[in-house]
Amino acid sequence: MLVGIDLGTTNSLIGFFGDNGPELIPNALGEYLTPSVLSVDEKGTLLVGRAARDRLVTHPHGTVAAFKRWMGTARETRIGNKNYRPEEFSALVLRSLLDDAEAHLGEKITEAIISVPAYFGDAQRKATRAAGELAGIRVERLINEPTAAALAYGLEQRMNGSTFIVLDLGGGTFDVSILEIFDGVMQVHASAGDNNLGGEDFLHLLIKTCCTDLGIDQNKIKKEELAQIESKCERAKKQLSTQQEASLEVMVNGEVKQWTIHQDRFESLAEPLIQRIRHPIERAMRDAKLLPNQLDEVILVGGSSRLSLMSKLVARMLGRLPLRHVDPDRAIAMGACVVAGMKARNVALEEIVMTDVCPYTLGVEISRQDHGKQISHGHFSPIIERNSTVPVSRSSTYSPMHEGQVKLELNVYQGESPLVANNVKLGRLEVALSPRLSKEDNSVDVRFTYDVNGVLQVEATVLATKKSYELILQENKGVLTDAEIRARLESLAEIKIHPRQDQENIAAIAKAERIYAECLGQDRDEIQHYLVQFLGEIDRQDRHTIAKHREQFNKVLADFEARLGW
Amino acid sequence: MNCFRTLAIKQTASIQEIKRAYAGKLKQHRPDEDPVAFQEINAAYQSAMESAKQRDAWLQRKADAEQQKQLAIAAGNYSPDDDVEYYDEDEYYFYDEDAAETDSDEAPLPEINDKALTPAAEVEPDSVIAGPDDESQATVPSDSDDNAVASDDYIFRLDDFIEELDNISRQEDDRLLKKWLDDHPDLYSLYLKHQITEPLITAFAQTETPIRPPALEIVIAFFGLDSVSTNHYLIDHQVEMARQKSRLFWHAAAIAYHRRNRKRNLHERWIDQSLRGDANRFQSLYLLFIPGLPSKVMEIANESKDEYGNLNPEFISPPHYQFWSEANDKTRIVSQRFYMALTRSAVLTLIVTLLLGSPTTSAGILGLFAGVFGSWLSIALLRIGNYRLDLYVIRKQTVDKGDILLAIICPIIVITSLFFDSEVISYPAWLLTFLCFSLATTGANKESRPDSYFAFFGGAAFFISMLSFTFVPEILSSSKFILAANLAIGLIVLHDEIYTRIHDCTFEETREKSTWLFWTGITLIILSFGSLAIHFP
Repeated sequence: MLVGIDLGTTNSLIGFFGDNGPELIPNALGEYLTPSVLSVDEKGTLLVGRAARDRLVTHPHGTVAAFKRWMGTARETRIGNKNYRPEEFSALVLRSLLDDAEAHLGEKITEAIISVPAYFGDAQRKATRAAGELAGIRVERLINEPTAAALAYGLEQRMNGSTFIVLDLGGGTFDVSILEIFDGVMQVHASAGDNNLGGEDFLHLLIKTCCTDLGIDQNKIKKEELAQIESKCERAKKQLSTQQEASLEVMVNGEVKQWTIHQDRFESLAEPLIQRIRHPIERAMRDAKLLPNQLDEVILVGGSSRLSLMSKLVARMLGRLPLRHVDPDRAIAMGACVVAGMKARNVALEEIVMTDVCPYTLGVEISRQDHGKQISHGHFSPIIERNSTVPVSRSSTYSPMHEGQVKLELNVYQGESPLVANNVKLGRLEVALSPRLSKEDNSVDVRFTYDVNGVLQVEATVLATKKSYELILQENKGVLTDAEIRARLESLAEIKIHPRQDQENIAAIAKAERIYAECLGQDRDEIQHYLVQFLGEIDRQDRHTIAKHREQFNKVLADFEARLGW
Repeated sequence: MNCFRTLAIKQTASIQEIKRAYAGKLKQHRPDEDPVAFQEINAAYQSAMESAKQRDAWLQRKADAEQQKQLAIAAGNYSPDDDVEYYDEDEYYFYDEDAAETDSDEAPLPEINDKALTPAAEVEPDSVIAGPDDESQATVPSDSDDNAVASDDYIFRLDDFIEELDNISRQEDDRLLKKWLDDHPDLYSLYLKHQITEPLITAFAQTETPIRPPALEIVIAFFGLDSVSTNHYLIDHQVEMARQKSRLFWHAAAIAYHRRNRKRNLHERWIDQSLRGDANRFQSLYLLFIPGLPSKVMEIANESKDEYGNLNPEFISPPHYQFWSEANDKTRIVSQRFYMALTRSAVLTLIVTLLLGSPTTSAGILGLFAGVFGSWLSIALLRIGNYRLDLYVIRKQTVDKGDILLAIICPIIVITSLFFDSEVISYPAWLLTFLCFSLATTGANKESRPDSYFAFFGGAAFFISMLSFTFVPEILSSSKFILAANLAIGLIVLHDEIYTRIHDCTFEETREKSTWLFWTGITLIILSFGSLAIHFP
């Protein structure tokens, strides 16, 4: 069974394409959204999901979140007593999702479709595939998140012959895609985005403002207290989407502090972030050569798109209000399930064909000689222009700068600036030339092939000798080599994760601990009382009774939260 | 068209039909299954869509023009002269109802020049009028209807926007400008932004008072015209024009500012005077003679030129500019010949003296030198065909410093040798030594064969004399000493040439490997002069 996975910065989901359409699979706690958070407990066992997220507040040192942002880099983080790479974190989350799916479907899962932001570069896509491998599955295909979201809407609405724009503001990334559906074809016209813009940024903004207002130095307080502030600010952020004002209470150094923020102030503080959101939208529209009135729909997906300033911005820029009737948290996962169904050639989906585009311009570094015989270096010569439909293969011919050169250095870059200094270097290829030949005879034909999964192949052929060279983009330190993946696979296998049966209990306890940390004074005593009671019941009772007690306990916690207005 | 054939549709197909055909083909050749076929189909689809869109736009314009004509006739205003060419018949002549039905194999049709049909420019370029007064900043058409873009409640006025933009850019705070643009409430609307992009950049391309280059770049980035993928061809052109205008205007302004405010040294002030035509004869000769100054004059003169090569009449008078360009004209350089004649004839004289042994008196040598130099120079001048003895100075790059030294020191030594005659210090010998040493310092011009040979002989002579002197000091003042010394110099000077000839390798490779020859020569010189010093009481 091919499953579809949304591996998000904040939450991850898994599902499949069933007889009635895309279906999401609940996790051990009965929820569809599994927070992409990992935590390690005192015994060294790993927790994934909501329990881990609650532990962010109570045990910030052993918990890690939002690691999707580090994909494609070589960053190593230490939790417990081990160093992990971002791929490993993602792999652990994937493993947890897959376990849930296997329990639900009753069969082993060996392959999956995983969603990635459309703007993810080569290194990040490779890291996602590596994560899949480390989780023990084959990544059948990487699907761009906006495309997935569009599919989710497309299916529900059966829009035929319409052009629409998908704005995906997730926890850590922002993606814009412009698509058109006609006659069973889903065509992507343009793609743009910002890999470092998401709900997290708005959260950090709130945290910074809160700390500045209350006179707290983020570096000086305890990590637990900071985690508490973060969690409360997160809540406040969500409240601001529906209310005009949000307030919170924090305890720092034994002192209780109150803080209120008004929606208008939040929006004016978020100005720089709003500008960053504008830019990819404009670029995508420009590349698709569309005017706002030529769009049929505007779709917002991604949890952070619930922020009221998003719909305001959309209205200002595109002159209309966006569609949001598919749950923005689930839309992408649903779309991934649709793709899974298509891949498995489920009969109901025979007729849809998808095309996609590559979001970056890809090219090489060249030097130019102008009329005055001045040579200037560091120019970018595009070979594949951005938003070309993939798969795409293009070539250009380059000749050496001087006579008698023995080699030609091809530096492969990705980006939009005419100068390579502002672009991202993907790799380097050296081609040997024969110094005896003239400059023209020594020209090299460089072919870039970009496939549906966003992997770039570079092939350089010396025209005179017909000798060709291929580029292996391994110089990028952010990418794991096959050998490294195998090594890490072994080390991952040793990690213990809590078995599913225990997860519900652990989640309940973690939640209680979090609430305890967040509330103050008398409420704390109350929580502690309930927690101790529950812990005692776990020790004493059998599984069924525990489940009943757990339900009760959860209800108590929920009431508690409601009472405190959370 | 091939694209239509690939999609198996007629050229008259509507956009709907093209899409449907594409969808059909796509299902047979999916991108992940058959990438090569898919790419072909996709490319065909894109071309077909482009061409269909252009055709539709053309048809629309034709219909509009017809409608206008009918309206004019009804109102009684029509006259054949008013027929505005909204479209160019020739561009779409293939769109002949009957011809289009036939198979495309028969008539090879020309490629559509997609640059000819542009999205309609909202502002006609010739309606841009520069303000009459010097202070004017806004230069867009004053006709309010053309540049006002309706946006629901109110009208966005482009010229007001440009004026405000101008004012802010003058404050020289680029961050402020960026913030103003980012925060501008009207420009959030993509529709409006798109509408004003082209008129705005066209205005900037044609204005007489452009904004500063950094400010212009910010505006260009804000409107997304700065990425490496092409925008529309015409817009790219306007962007370039705007950049050029700004650069030229502000470069000239910067120069003018510089000139007014910068402290200029003596040379620069004289150069300015000379270019304006106010310099006196002495100043001109000085500028002419001193190596490096004439080319500096050209540098300063060229700074004041704009990119089209026009001189700024405020600073440069054309006839004087002409004089200085001729002074720097390599092909007409007389003095290059002069210096060469001077130095080479000195070498020739002395070699002849040494070989033949006569004349031995200083006066004789001087006379021989004068003779050789005179004839050399005359022949050179005859060959150029320039009888004037105006002395143009060589460009800094072609004159060897050694030559200059020689030209100055040679006469001095020769003259003093007339008055002093000593056994110990034989002036011709010393002259020759000095000559060869300076040849060594110049590093003889490798491309010029005669130069190399002269240097070689001189060097050879020096080398031998050094050698013999080192071991046989009595011959201090002997001419053989001089010959040896010259040989050494030659070795130094030509070490890389010798090495290259022996090993038949490239010049670059020689440079590193032949330095040992060079250092041998240096050592010998040091030894020789060392022993010379010892023998002097």
